[in-house]
Amino acid sequence: MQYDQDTQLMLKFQRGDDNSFETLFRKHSVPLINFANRFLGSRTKAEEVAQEVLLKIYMARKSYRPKAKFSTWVYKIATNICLNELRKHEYRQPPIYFDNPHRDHGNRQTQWTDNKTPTPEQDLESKLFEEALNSVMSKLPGRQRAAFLLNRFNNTTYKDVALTLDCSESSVKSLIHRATATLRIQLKEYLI
Amino acid sequence: MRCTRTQKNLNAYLVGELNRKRMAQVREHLMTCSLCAQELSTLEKLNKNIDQLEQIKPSPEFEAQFWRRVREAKQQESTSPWRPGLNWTPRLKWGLSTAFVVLFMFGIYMAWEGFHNLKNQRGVDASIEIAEIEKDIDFYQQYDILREMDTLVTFDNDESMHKNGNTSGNHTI
Repeated sequence: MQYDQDTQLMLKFQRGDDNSFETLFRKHSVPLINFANRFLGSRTKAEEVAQEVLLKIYMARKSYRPKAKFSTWVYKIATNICLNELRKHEYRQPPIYFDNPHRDHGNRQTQWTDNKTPTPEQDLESKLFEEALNSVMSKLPGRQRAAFLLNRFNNTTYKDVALTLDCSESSVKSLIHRATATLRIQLKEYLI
Repeated sequence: MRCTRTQKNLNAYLVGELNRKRMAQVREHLMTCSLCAQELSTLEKLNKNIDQLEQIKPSPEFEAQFWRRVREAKQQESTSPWRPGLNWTPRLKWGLSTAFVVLFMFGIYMAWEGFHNLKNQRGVDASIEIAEIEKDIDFYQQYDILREMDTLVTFDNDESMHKNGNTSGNHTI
């Protein structure tokens, strides 16, 4: 059976090649941090989640059996950890749906957002859009958020998103449609 | 294709996730519907804005923190009293489960066989008992005959003795 490159690296790591894990670590750290950051709206939490995912990969050395693409497995772990964090989070934002447009993105600070000064290089419009995007994203239901992020930010196919979320491709299509419809309505002023 | 259905497919259309037939239907609708065309344009702008967002980089201590966690996890694993001496791989779990099921079914089969044999054995025992009784009956019947034979012999002897004038009572068969 032909495995993808990352799966082959993991199998090499299983056979004792620690450098293979280093390669996987370098390849997936940044995307994982960004995925978790967009999901949870906190850089600190994002790094914790990314470390937890990478730790699970490391500790699965002996028991790893390739059943799907390596990235599908990794983001399944990441999504589950993020969804658990959402459930645990004390300050829950009420979800918004595209058929009930409640424009409150004037409140751009969510309980999860870090108050870090943006870099000077960032374009102001892009920065404002990003803040608005994060604010709206923080109100999306967990599975919509996951499906949208995986497809839009990670360029994951609908098929792989379905495998990650344990649902059908038509469910993925529906989740992404609802997420983008909400974003389109809530971020309309940035999309003219 | 109607607007509602077209709009549900817009995102999939943009990222190339529709089959040829559906793609053609959406394209055809977009050529004739300005509302949906506008929705598509908005979605394209959204995607473009998202593509321009910068990725955040890990903090300087990210890697060091990670390897610290690895060491702690390894230490915890080696000192845990519940650490099994076995690597419980899915294959091993399946193998043991299958073996358990097979043994269980075998046990049920043996119990059933035992019950069945016991039932048959009782039937055999009953047959033997009846046969024994029947044999005894034959014996008893023979005994009766014999008893009758004794009577007959005694009677015959008595008759012959009377004929011969012998009244000692000795007789032979």
